[in-house]
Amino acid sequence: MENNELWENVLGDIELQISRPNFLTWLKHSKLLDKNEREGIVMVGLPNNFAKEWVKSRYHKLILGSLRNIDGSIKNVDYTVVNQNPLRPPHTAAKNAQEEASFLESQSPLLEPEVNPKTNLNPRYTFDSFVVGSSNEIAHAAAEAVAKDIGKKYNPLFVYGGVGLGKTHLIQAVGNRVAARHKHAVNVLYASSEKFINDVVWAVRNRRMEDVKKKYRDIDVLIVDDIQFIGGKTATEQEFFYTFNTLYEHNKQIIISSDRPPNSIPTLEERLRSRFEGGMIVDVGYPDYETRLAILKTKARERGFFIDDKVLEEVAARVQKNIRELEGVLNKVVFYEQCKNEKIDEKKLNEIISEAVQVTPKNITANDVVRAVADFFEVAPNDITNRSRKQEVVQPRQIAMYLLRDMLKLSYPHIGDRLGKRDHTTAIHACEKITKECSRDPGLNQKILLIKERLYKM
Amino acid sequence: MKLILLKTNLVDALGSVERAVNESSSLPILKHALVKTVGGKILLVGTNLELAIEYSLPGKVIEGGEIAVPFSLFNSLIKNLMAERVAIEEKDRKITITTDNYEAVLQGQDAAEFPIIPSIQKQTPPLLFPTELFRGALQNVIVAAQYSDIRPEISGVYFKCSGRMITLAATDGFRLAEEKINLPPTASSQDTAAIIPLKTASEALKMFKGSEEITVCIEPNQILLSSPNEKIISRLIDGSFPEYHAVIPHHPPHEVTVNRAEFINAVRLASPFSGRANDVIVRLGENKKVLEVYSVDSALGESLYKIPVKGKGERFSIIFNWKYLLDGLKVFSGNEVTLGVTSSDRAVLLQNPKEPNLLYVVMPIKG
Repeated sequence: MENNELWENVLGDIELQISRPNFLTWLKHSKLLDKNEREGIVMVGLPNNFAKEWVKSRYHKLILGSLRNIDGSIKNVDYTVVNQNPLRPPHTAAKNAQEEASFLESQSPLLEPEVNPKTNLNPRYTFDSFVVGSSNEIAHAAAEAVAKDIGKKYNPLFVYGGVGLGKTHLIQAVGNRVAARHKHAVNVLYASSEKFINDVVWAVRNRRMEDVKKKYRDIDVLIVDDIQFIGGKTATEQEFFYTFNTLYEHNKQIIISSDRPPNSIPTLEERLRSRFEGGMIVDVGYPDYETRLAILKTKARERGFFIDDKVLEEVAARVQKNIRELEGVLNKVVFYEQCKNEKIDEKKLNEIISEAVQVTPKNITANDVVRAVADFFEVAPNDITNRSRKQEVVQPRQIAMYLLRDMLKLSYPHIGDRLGKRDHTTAIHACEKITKECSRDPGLNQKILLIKERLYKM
Repeated sequence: MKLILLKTNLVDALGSVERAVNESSSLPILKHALVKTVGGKILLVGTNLELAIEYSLPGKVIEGGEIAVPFSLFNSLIKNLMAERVAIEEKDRKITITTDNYEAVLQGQDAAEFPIIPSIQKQTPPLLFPTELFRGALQNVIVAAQYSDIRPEISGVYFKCSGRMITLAATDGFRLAEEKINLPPTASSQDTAAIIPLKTASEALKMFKGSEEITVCIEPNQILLSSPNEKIISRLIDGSFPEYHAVIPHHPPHEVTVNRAEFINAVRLASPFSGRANDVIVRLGENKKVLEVYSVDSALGESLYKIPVKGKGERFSIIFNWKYLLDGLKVFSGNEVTLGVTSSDRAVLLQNPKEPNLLYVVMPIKG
């Protein structure tokens, strides 16, 4: 049973046994945070210390009893404080909101809000904070050119690349630069494709298509992130197509990002694909060691941390695939050094890195892997698992072997047996080949990452 | 339980605990205050589950015990008593209040029903420093704080202790106040930081009137402020306070010093003519000798106040929300205040050379 469901049942049970005000005060905002299956200990989160003390002393038996009724393996309950919202003075809140609204327009903020409500751009993403390396210099140059000369040079600009490699950073940087240079003269709008889809769905449902048309067609620079998600959603694709054409005809700049090039988004309509291909297509690849190191140094400096170069070098060498992971490791290192006042030694660093890099896949089976690979390459799963030697399935099969070994740690004979009753040496060869090619061919590396990405989402 | 108390002591205690008792709570026990004896001491405790106040008052304990009393009834009875001494006796949850010529009986609640006040582990050594320094600084910075639904992390007062320096800061996103306290050599300190909820901070300001030193204990999610006879325990705001140092202008190019009282007066006089955004214009005129505080309303008329200035600066003209400006001028106590201006759309720094530990930054209104 899911933790949430379990806790709902427990609360339902307890609600009947204690008075309503007591329930509302002490338990309404409780949460089941974690269930340690092995030791049978359940961790319950409560909104404040008062609730923690009270529940612990008054309702412990009730909660434990109720939990054990549902799940006999539970032996004990522990409590902790989570979710500390600020104290809210109820009577002043409404007034403040009104007051705030009346001058928000004109009063300049002292601390810039995170995201600009009008353009949807995050001010943190600028060209200055973007680290340029060999893997992204073309994309960077194209983006800068677009920012300089909107709507003329490269239209649309299509940026693609793997997860966490800086696509969003780059396309938002264009928006931020344009917004800063032209102030109110140019309308910039950043939207995730999800936002676009939601807007269209809302408009269809409420018969307010005109509103959406107006919103998206009154724009000088339209930035749409993760366009691959609109593939297959016919109404949205159609609307996007019209919007695209309108903007394009009026020489408005369109910037699009995706996790793969337009010709490999299988569900994308042909006419949209050809539109995308008509502009400039650039990719953001995996950063090389020097770029990773530069990124780490920039991030550390941005936040005012001083970290030993040796540590940064080690992190850059070990975390290879994803800039977000890189940042995560950096944050952890900083946390240890600053908060715990511990100097990072080699052992600790190793621990942090392996923790971050090895996301243990949950419940992924060999079949899932095969299916994901087949899906990705658009071949039939059967082709991968039988003895077919068709050329288009050779690489997918090798990748499947590699993934089975890499993610599930299956034995080579087992892998060979599973994928077309092959010898274990074939499996070994495939894994070695893919490993080697991965380090040479960023395209392959990216494909593998995308497949993994899909697997985690399943 | 049987106690004999001086009425004035009890009134003081009730006044302090009142701030933590929530009369509109849905849980009846929260409308009560706990009276209990610990050794020879009498404690009065109130809580609204966000913060708790504990007051220890002098009195004679004839027989120990504990009972939850209905707060507002008890409070109004005691306040209206004329007698000097009050005897309070509890038996079977009936509370009898007796003076020479008066007797009242109240229905109390079992003390076991009263919320347990979270204890502070005191794992880290507490901070100890003079009450007046703390209250003064808190009073100065709290004007810039404002409750915000959207940004919980600024709905409070930032408290940071590092080395022998305590920093208090607050901001509502449009202005910022910061005061540093240099701890006297006798005070004890510990490196720590927390965001104290606005309500807790403003209650704490009204407490600790008679005490010389105040103790502060900070734990991961709660804070304890205490003097020998008063304690306030509250939860803290989760989150990290914004890195505000970047918004404080360093060495603004134009610095003009004016008489503070006159400036306050000028802003007050200009305020009735301000528009919906509370906008008044502060400008340094052509001859750079007078600061003009000007506001105009097409229906009402206009107001112009001239204040002689000292200092260096080019001509400037800045629009302020007069409330923010006035708040800022009032936190200082000296005769003079210095206005540090960069440009009409950048933050303005208010300072007094004689109070170097205190600063106030305010953002202008867009012209």
